[in-house]
Amino acid sequence: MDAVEFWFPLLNLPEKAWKYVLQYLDTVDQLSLSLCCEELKTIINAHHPKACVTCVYIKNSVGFEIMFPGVPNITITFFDQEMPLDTDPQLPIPEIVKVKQSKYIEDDVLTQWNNSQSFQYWIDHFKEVFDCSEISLSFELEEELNPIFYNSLEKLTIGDIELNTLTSEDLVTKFVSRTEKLFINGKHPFKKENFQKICIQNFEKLHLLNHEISMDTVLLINASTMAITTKFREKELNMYLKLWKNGANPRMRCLRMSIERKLNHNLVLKGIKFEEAPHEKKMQFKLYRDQFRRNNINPEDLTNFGGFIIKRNGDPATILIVTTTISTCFQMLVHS
Amino acid sequence: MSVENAPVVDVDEAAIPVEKKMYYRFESNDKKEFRVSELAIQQSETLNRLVEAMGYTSEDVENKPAIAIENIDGKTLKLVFQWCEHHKGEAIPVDDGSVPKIVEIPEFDAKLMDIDNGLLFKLIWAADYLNIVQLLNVSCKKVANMAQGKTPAQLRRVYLLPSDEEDEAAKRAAQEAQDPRAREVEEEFEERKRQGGNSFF
Repeated sequence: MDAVEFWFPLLNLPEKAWKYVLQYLDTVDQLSLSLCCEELKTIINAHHPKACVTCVYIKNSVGFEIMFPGVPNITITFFDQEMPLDTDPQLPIPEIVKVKQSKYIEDDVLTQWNNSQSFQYWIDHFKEVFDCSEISLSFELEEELNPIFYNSLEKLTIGDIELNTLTSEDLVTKFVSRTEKLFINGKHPFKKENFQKICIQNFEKLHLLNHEISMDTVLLINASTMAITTKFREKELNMYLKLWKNGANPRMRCLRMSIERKLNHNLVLKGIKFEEAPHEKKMQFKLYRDQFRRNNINPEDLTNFGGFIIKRNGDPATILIVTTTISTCFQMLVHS
Repeated sequence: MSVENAPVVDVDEAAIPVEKKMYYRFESNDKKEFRVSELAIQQSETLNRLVEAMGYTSEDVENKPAIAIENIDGKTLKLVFQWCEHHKGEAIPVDDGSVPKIVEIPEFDAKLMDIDNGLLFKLIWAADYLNIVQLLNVSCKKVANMAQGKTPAQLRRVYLLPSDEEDEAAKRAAQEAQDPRAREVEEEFEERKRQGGNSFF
């Protein structure tokens, strides 16, 4: 047993005082306290800011990352060196979990806690203490993980999924079908025909970044917000806009393409009727709002001015083409 | 200014400087008397209202009995008034409900609160009773600092927190102590269950 050389009867303080004490604790200490008893769990829930994102990450270790507005994030590593084996009949409970609080300026604070709780218990605990209504899943895994692990995720309300993995197409597909926000950054495990099925799914947001994507695939996407990285030329973008005017991507409200070459906007808009949007007209793209929120970047930074307005059946869309010497950012916002 | 030099003095100490400012006299529950400046009293919402309501003149302060603070002892009250004198004239923070709260403990306060936990406990109760907002802030921050980097098991010991099982057992014990008949009924019920009866009545 670890030696503690002093004690202080916290709950014998006046109510106002011990509530102050709880508010002055770092988040990681509040989490530690919330594990002590039910009463404190309820009190901390009432006083701590709600988590903006709670993520279950499945990488070379398995754990949780909890992010808060204006408060340092916490990460908890549940399985690290000893990942669950295929032969485990049920999900093991590690004796130690590693807890890290990220500070903005100082070094991260890392502690180890003895653990007797299951993975499921921890997920439920976070949901209860920090009001996480949805949980993100982040897959970045090189090896197969014991399928029994995924059973513990089955009851989760999944907010979004980030994929950068080649593992377990079947397992990942099960989760992808339960989300409206999918972010693929690099590798994904889907075979070509299955990938097209994924694209057809009615996502609220679909990001396909650092992944080669064809125009045919873009036209299949049914997401209302899309972000892709491509190598399209002016001619292909021009064709896309003409197809959009004729009814392609009917659900799309917001599109951002990051293109690895400098494009000429006159060629992109060649043969398309457009009008220039006044420069003083403000247009806010909310495309990356969630991602920026995670990184504590003000979404107002996404506000753009000006652009070109094209129309489909009278419904306008604003196009903004921002070029650097080596790349182009093509953005399109449908106003309906 | 160091803690030792803070301008709170016991009245039995020799010379008290005569100033134009009014110094109120207070008495702790163990009959220790303190003189505290009018400006320092403003840090305590409770005492400030009290002296305003009393409307004492300089003569009243000298001639009438010291104002009794019956639930705070002399040792604690000395710390409280030292703090108030050091911070007199400072703005009183307003709780705007913002979270997270950021409180820094100034050097003077850190030295003042370099005391055992029993006295710190009394100081917090006094700060709460006398409604001294900033003293309550810094003393609670000191208690919060005790938690830094502790595991849940360590925190249970530091803050003397009962586990859910202990809490439940304590509640049951309190309930049983309150109502011995309830315990008899429960025992009778258990006995009937053992005898195979399905209905209690």
